[in-house]
Amino acid sequence: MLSGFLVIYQAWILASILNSVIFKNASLDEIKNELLILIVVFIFKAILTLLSNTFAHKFASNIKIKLRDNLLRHLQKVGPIYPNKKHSGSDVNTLIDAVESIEKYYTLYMPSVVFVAVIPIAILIVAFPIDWISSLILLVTAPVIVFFMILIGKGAQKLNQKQWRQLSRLSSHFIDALQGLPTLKIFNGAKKEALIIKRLANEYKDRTMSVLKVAFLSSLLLEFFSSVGIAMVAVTIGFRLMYGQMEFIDGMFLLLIAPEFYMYIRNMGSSYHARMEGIGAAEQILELVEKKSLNNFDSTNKTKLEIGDTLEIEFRDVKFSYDKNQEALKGINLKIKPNQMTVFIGKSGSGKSTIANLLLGFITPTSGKILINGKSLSEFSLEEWRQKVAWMPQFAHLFKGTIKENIKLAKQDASEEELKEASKFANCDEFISRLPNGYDTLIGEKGSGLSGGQRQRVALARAFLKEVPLLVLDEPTASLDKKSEEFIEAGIEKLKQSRTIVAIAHRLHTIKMAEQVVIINDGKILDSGSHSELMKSNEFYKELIKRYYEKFTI
Amino acid sequence: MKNLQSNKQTNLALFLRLSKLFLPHWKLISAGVFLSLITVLASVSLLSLSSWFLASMAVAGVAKTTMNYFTPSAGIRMFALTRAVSRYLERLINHNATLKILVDLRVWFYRKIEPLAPAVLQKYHSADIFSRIKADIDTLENVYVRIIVPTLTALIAGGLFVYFASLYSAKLALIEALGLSLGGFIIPFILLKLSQKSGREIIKTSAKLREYTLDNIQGLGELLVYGAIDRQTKKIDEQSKKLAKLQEKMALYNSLSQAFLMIVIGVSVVLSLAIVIPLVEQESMPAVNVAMLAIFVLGSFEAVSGMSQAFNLLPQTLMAGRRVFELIDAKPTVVEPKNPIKKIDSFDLAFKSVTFSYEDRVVLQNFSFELKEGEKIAIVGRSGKGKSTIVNLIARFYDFASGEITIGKHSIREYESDFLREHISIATQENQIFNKTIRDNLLLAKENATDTELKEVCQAAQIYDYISSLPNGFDTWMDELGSNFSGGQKRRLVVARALLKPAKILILDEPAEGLDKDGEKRMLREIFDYKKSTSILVISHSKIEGIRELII
Ligand SMILES: Nc1ncnc2c1ncn2[C@@H]1O[C@H](COP(=O)(O)OP(=O)(O)OP(=O)(O)O)[C@@H](O)[C@H]1O
Ligand SMILES: [Mg+2]
Repeated sequence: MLSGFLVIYQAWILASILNSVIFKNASLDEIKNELLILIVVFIFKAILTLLSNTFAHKFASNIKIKLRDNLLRHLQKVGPIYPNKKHSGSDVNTLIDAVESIEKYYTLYMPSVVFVAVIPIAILIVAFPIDWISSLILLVTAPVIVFFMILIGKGAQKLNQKQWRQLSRLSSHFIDALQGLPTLKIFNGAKKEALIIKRLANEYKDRTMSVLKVAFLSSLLLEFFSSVGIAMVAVTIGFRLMYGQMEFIDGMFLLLIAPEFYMYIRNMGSSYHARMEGIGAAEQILELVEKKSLNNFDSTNKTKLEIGDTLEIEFRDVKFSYDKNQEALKGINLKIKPNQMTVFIGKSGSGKSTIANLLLGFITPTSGKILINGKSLSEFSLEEWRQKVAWMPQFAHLFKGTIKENIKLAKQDASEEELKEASKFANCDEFISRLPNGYDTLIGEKGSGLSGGQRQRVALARAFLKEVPLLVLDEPTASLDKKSEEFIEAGIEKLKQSRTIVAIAHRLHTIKMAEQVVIINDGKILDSGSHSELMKSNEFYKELIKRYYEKFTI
Repeated sequence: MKNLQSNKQTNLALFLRLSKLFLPHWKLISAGVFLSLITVLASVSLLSLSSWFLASMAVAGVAKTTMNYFTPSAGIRMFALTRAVSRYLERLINHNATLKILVDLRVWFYRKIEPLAPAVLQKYHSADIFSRIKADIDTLENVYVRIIVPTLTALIAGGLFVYFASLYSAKLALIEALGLSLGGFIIPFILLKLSQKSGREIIKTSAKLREYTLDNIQGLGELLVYGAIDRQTKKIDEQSKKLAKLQEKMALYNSLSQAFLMIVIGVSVVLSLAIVIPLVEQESMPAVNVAMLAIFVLGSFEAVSGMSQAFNLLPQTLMAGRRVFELIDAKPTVVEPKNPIKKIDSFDLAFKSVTFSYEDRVVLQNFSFELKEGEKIAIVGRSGKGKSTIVNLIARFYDFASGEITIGKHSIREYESDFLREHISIATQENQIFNKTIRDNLLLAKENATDTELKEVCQAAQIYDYISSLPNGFDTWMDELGSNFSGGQKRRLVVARALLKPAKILILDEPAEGLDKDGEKRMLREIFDYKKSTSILVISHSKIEGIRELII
């Protein structure tokens, strides 16, 4: 508001100074005060601009920080398993770049709208009494400009959305390719990849350019109309001045104010582009927000989870499907006893990992119930439940950082002894200690810098470090040799005294350790019992075991 | 890890090096500068002429005389049109040119870092490399559009304006020159010194933010189960906040610079009035010129209007450039031969007392073995013994320290590594699966493979039954972690992919993980049958029946 006043005032002072000089032959002394005022006006304008910019950026910053945090929390709530999963590159793109582009909406578009609502109107109000013809020119051309802008904006919106989608594709592709570069090289695809990158980057460029073209075209029109407007004002005023129908001071004032009038409208026009970009980004953001999770834990659940020494888990007719077409679990009924080891065996794809995912709370049953000491798991708070669980997945994620940081992920305040003990149980203390930097050795993303088996053992140490009633292990010894496996089994044997262990396994040794072996086939339990029971009663099992057994009788 | 050379580069050298990237496009740049110059000149002329016209008309009106109003009013219209059109063209040309250049830069960058994988690149987070190829290169756009073009425009237009002012009064020219250089260069330069650190930090912080976010997504399961998610959230939020604060800071510097410019404009206008008015009093200048000159001075600052942004963006642009060059300058671990051998005489592979260590970790010492063309052997050994390292050496991902590795009569150092890899196929331990359909994942190994071939390799790898049981078969989409496949299934898909490549040497690093003994036997038997004339090296933890075994 104030700056609108300043704009008008500045024009008026300048006009009046010029008027005095040209027509009243005023000397410098006579207009000294006006000149000083002019400087003060400029200073005020400068301060106001500074304040409004600072405020707009602060406002935008807060929104960005909040938005990013909310999106992140939503991602976390949905968890790692959900339908129609997109590449993480696309999520990263949304969280960083899409949120970033919201900034311009708040720092450019919003202020320009506020200014447009105030300043041109103020200008018109002042200008009308002075000269209605010029004011009419301003009044008539302004809506034309706005009309064109909106017309063009409509097309721009679609283009913007396309641009964002392309960007998201580009990001996913880059991350996928960068992480898989060794494989690409092996298949001589790394050089070809350059062509794909070129194509994608070109497509992104074209999309960007088509968005920009519209933006530039709209500013051309804006520029054109405002130039025509100014020229018309100047010429009509000029003639009336010549015919003595108008005072010079008024004419000059109008000429100075006309560009300002159009400038604010033009600013809105060019920042309309920022709005479109924001809307395109918002679409990406919405897509992320609309991710449906496959778990329906209620975060308001308050039921205290009290697990003493006994943790009894029961599956009661549990069914689960990842999508409508396929049922992954078709009715599981099962009791998992405390401080024992239960092993699931079965073909790959039979549903073992789904059972693990259910226990970890990544997904909840489509129907049926999982009971923890008699109470349904879904009644507890998820965070609390997860404090009771440790997990080693089939492909554990190791983070870029030191080995120690990676193991300690499970328990931040673990002491050196605890760290060493867990590592010993996982048979990795020996090799880690031999490394020049020991536990402080840096490893890369996904554990690069370690051998396959070493990665697995580090992940296992992490699972062992967290002292919890339930330990879920997905093929704990899959990529290990027999000796390492034996060491780890000795570790598991000790841990079993205080923990309930659920494992997915293929190896006989692991299976033999278990009190309960559950055979899963095609989403159903085929049979269960101890190894020796099953050996007696189940021919299928006997056959299976015979084959496993061979592998390790070298 | 850090390339010292590029870190030591001074900002000036760095900027010159960046500018050089744009040098091949000097024609476009000149056109861009020319148009932007025209825009500024037209704009200032428009304003000055209009006010001169108005003043003259008014004077004529008062004196009851007439004047030639056709020429000036035509001029006003012409300048108005010129300004609109040239601004449009300038933007179109400049942006189109930079976007094109950015595509080239991205491809250039990728080509340069590709040889660094995996030995050098594994020291960086993939999100960090991604930030470089995406965000940092995007930032380099500034060099051209927001730094070079505005600066050249400011210098040329500024010069012209000072010259124009000098036609009327030397003092006026001095004020004009001082005002323009103060508002356009000196103040932004001072602020640049203050903002340098924040500008550089912006780039680093946003790369960090990407890194932590990617970790959060790809390691979400672990973070959730281990209750580390809040810590990760905090880490991300911290960077997010830091980034926002830095951006606020930079915006503040930019606004400050603009605010100062505004004050400089005000003072310059007033000072020039103070200079011109006495001239009118002394009647050495017509009064109408006062209007024109005042508005001219006011408008002439458009010449330097882009400068505050140009200086503001400089630090982060330089930082982005530094990060890009850091990888460009990194040395690959494997040096390509100067005169490579283009033909392989036989595919007998031999390690002759090879010694190798990863930096300070010795892994292989005087290790020897032979794999004759068409032969099948197994390398058996405990975890961490160096089995996969052997694969890394054959694939030329790393270079051995001493001894010799030969294929045919020649050391593998004598072949170009890409050429060598054309003849080798590997199923690595890492189960790297791409975010594509199963078919496209397989076709990576052989672009024009027929459906029959796909079926054959999948059958040999014991994965065909599973794939054909899927509703979409080979067209099933593999998500990033391949989570619709179990570990064993992924393993076998990777094996199938390796089988598909028509190579003379096939290496399978633990192909049977997740298979029972029976499955393993059947798989290897079928593979050996399918690849009769191919040399095969199987890496395993346990004995494999029927083939020569080498214990490491
Ligand atoms: N990229 C690397 N950088 C540094 N050290 C490495 C790297 N890759 C492996 N190592 C180290 O080299 C040694 C041999 O690793 P390698 O991967 O060859 O073992 P491996 O025999 O394949 O074991 P596994 O059976 O567990 O896969 C290990 O001690 C490992 O920590
Ligand atoms: Mg290995």
